[in-house]
Amino acid sequence: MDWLANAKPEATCLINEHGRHYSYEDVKYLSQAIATLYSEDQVKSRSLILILAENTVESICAYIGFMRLGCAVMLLPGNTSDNQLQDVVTLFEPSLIFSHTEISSISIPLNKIRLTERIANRATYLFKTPWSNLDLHPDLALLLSTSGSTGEPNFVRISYQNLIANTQAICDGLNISDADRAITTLPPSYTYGLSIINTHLYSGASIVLNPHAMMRNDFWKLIRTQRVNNFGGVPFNYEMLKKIKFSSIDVPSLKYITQAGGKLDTNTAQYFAKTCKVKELKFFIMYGQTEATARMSILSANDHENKLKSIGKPINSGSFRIIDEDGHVKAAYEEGELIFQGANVSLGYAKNKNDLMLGDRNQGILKTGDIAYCDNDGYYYIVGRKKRFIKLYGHRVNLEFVEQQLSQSGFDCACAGQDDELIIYVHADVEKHTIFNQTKQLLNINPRCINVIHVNAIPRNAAGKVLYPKLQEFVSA
Amino acid sequence: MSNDDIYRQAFIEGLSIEENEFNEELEYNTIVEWDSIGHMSLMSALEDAFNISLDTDDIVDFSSFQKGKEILQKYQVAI
Repeated sequence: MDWLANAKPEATCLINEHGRHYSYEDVKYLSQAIATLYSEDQVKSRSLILILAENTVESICAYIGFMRLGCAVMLLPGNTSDNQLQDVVTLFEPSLIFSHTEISSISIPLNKIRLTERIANRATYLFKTPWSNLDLHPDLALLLSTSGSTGEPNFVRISYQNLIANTQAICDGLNISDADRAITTLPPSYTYGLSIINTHLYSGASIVLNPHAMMRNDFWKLIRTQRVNNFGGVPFNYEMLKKIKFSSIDVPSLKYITQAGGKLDTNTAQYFAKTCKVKELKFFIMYGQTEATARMSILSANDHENKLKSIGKPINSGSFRIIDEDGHVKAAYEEGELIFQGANVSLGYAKNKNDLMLGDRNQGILKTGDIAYCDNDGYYYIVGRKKRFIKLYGHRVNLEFVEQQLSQSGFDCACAGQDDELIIYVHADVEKHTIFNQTKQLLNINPRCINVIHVNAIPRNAAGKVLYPKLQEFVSA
Repeated sequence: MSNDDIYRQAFIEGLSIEENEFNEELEYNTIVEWDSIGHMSLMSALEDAFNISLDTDDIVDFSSFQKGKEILQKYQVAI
């Protein structure tokens, strides 16, 4: 997979936080240098490479370089905890780990190379593990985590064909050209963050690799000095942009902004539709899942102010349908599970190295787990979720998992909530801050979204199953 | 409560930290609670506490407990 194939060699590809430009030719050189540091007899071209990716030139070059070499790449966030890393490395046995930080406290012998200053502008390491697993399915290109930094490791197996199909469809849908310049706002290990990078590389466009949060001055300085013309964000980013009065921020170079990673609150969607109209910006609302490589539908919000609650229409290489429990297709306005069909539907999941040999389990069809309906004009609307998970800041959190972990620590509890609010019901005898601190550590996220509520008892049926709808009645005064 | 106490309290509540985790040298991104998410709830806590509406430039410039004192002066809040 060659992400650099479509670009002019002299065109700008990556821009670092200090404003240094790297042409596609520079990136080709650097990515080759990183990917071939270990000689071919140590790291074969069809190996599994784990990249602890950050929005840095080195991380993106490693991603490009190992892909060009024909390796399968597994991405995890740069701040992955040592425990999580130990689990993943033990289960999947990657041949090599790329990281900006030292890996010290995992119990696997690692042979370290520090990249020279000629290649890397900051501390960057390659760790050779004892393994050289080559039993990978020939179609397997990429492994992305669905659990973020929490829970049992679970990765989506993405093929070369998936990547090309989804990248092309997004480029078409958003009209991305080599004149575009994005700025990163999301981790590259996150499906949506990565798809912004992929689409821009594929179009020969450029990407500003930004380490700053969107509410920092440095972010807006970078956007202005580098004349960025687009960025993306999950609902939290948009809530924040609204809070800092996006309408009063003047960025003349900006042409379009995109939103995905969960449902945007309707008021916020209206605010951005209106603000973008005034600013003559395009505003795209999108729907996606890691299991579909990245994105499944697009709504061009400027043109459809009356459809702002919708996720739009499917991307041009895919289709949706709504089905009932028996698999029968539902009529317009009838609710059912949303099914996506397209060339970007991933091969399946991987929980350990044995799964890396598996072929295509999904056959182009994805049961999204979302409950939706379709209107008369062919626009789709999400109304709920079949599975028990919520999204916290764009990342999936399995409520079952949180309950299990807390009960293993001796706390009987029930989890509920909505996107960006995890509610934990626990017996009034337990101190709230105990649960709060436990959950904070467990999920490794900002605790703002955790709400602990005292109940007199956890209501259960005869079989011991939690009666979630009844929880409210048991809240203690 | 004095403005000083209100300001301190807004940090503790806005960032969801314990009193003993608080100190006057707090800066953005030096504790896990004060990340971009914590920042937004800190700004809301300050706005509620002092009944003000912070401008964009001040929200993006608000980088530490000390810097915040300077910024709030613009809003006639003396700490």
